[in-house]
Amino acid sequence: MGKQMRPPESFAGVVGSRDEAVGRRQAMTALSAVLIAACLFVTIALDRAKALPSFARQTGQPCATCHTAFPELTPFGRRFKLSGYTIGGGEGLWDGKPPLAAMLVPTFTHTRKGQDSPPTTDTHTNDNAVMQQVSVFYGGKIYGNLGAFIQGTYDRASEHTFLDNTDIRYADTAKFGKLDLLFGATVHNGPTVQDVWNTTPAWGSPYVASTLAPQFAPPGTQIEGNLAGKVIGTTAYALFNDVVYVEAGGYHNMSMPLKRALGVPCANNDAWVYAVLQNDINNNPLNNPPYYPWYGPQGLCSSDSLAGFAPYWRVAIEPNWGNHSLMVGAFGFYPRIYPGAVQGFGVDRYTDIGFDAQYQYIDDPHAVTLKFSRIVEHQQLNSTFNQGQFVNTWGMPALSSNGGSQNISNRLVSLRATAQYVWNRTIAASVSYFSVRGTPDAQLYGASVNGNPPPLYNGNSLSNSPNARGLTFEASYMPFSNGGPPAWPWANAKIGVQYTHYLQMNGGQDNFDGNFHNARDNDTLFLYSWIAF
Amino acid sequence: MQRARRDQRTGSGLVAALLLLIAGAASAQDALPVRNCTWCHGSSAQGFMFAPRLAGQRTAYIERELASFAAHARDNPLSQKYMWGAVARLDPATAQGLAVYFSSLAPEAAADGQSGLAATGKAIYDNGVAVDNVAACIACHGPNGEGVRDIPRLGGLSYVYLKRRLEQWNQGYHQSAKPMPLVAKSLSANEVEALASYLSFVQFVDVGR
Ligand code: HEC
Ligand code: HEC
Repeated sequence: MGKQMRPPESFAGVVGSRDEAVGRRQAMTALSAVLIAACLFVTIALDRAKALPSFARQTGQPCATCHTAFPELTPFGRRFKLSGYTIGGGEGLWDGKPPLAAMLVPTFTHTRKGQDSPPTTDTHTNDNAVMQQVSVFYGGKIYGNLGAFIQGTYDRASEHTFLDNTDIRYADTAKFGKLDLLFGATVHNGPTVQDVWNTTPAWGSPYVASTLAPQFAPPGTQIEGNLAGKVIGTTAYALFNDVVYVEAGGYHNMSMPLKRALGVPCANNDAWVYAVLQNDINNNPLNNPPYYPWYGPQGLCSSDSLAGFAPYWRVAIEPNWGNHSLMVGAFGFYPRIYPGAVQGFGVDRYTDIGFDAQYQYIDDPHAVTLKFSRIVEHQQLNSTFNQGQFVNTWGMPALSSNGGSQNISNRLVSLRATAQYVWNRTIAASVSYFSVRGTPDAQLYGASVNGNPPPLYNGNSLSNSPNARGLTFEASYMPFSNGGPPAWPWANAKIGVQYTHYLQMNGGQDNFDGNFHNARDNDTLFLYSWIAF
Repeated sequence: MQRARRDQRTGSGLVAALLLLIAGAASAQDALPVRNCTWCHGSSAQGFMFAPRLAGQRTAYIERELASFAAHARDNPLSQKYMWGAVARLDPATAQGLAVYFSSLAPEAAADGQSGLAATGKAIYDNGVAVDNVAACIACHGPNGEGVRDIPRLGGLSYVYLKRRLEQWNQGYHQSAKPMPLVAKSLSANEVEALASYLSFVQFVDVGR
């Protein structure tokens, strides 16, 4: 990866620089440099140690110690993550096993009604069997109190390889008067990737979903993945007496070269896209911008980017007693966003406040998890609104992911509740209810804008509504949770079937978009298997 | 614009702090791998979930239990699941070091039993139940449940853990823990409840390790 990356300029002058533009660039450079340094650190560690163990090898514990049903964490699993992935007890750093873990996710997706067109170039409108995802992990201690979870993924749907959920952290313990303190800091690549409860978006339900369906999906709040992989998060956290958890920090945009190097799709800056387009239009007689590979994994496009620093906080209390573990918490995220990375129209300001709760009963052979989360987002869509009003210099619609908004202020509420039962850590069944509710907005979600056919990414709702509701049922089998086959006892696998039933989509049930699409047509049957080794 | 610059500074500050921590990591290498145990047993080893309190437990008893996990003699399901793996690579010197360390921490009473049963529990603990052939626990575990030598401290252990331990000897597990399989044989379910409740409230009395 180092090859594609522009070498960091320098660390000097990051603090106290007078020139704001330079200061900002250097701050970004410093951030990039930290990540690069961390990557190099890992790479070197890998080269030296032929034996960096996966978590199970490192701790000497089976998967079931830290997971009820992979990847959902137990209280022990949460302590392991908060301890910076550094806990040992199993094989040492130099014991001679391959340092990496790998994961394959073959899947099959069937929807009740076929999609209007194939979701990707070489798939079908229905019944797609694909190797949805291939991932490689580095997971465990790096040195001392420093550890990491790093995932690189090839995503079949978008046909690109990118840096998936990644969390590098340092953690230590201390006595603070009579209080026990477990504290640390993490650098990671998306909001809530660092969180230890499975109620927050990055590691929440559903743990795996089809990337090829459904054709219509409800919009999400900003914290629910819009910025995943595109930002660098730096937060500090503390756990008091194993019960009270507090965390604060925030997110920065990654620089365009770093995003591209890490494989983020549509990683370009909008201004750059226009410059290239303009150049191509001037120089190419066909007026047809070619999609050179160096434009980024998906050619010439840009996606939402952060304007400045986006603060994040998280609090939770987690009492544990006997076989019970309860958590009640809240979190907040305040991104300012250039939609489609378009500058010059102002910024969209979001306030995402989440409330979450979880109860786990963990015994042998029974384990039950109840989860709840509700995220309320206030949107102030200055830029989106303005972009809808202006015709830009090139006479084309802005390359933002939507064609402007009718309102400047909108609200979006995302709720999810899940109940799961696991038998002997090997057979799991769960049901999940989800709902998205929001302010109607003719331009964001409407079926037609100013009487014109809907833009590509519009929500297509006759009632101009983002509202959606549904249920997800899932059953899975994890043969190796209590220890894998003798030859490779750390292996983990999960075979599952998932059915998502949509009760409402885009504010309606039947013919929600005027094109005779019904909510239930999206009902998705999804077969998957995870094989990690 | 002003705002943006301040935000950038905050970011740089965080990065700088992290770099310092990372640099610190190079020097921090625990001599005794205490955290390999406390992520389950609780930050100060006061017990966490179903992992029992280790703080204040007797040195010789901890050492013996670690040996019986390693020998798979302590074979009840939770021991098998969690402790067999945790001690598989523990060398005797480290085991001893950890035993000394944990026994030196001041224990706190879990106090999670049913307080209504405490008086009954104390009566059984102090006097036994002659008709049922129940031995007086006090004879071996001491007047305040403090234990002695390799006989464990019971005072303040959690109700859930004590109850499970007393039940499991009758289910045929860990028969090497003499004399407890025999002692537990004559205990009724109600007596187990009462004993576990009473002991969970017993406060720490320092009699050395
Ligand atoms: C993965 C979680 C886990 C880890 C790691 C772990 N323990 Fe345990 N430990 C347990 C559980 C659960 C029990 C209770 C077993 C039972 O109920 O029989 C236990 C029981 C014990 C006991 C018996 C206590 C008694 O009163 O009889 C001792 C001693 C002990 N552990 C010491 C250690 C030491 C020392 C380490 C670190 C090297 C360690 N444990 C690491 C989960 C853990
Ligand atoms: C003759 C001496 C003796 C008597 C009487 C006795 N114990 Fe014990 N007890 C022991 C010894 C020795 C052990 C440690 C066994 C081992 O694991 O090797 C022990 C262990 C225990 C443990 C396990 C503690 C832990 O940390 O896991 C419990 C609980 C216990 N005894 C409860 C009782 C109760 C309740 C009574 C009275 C009904 C009682 N004992 C009577 C000697 C005795």
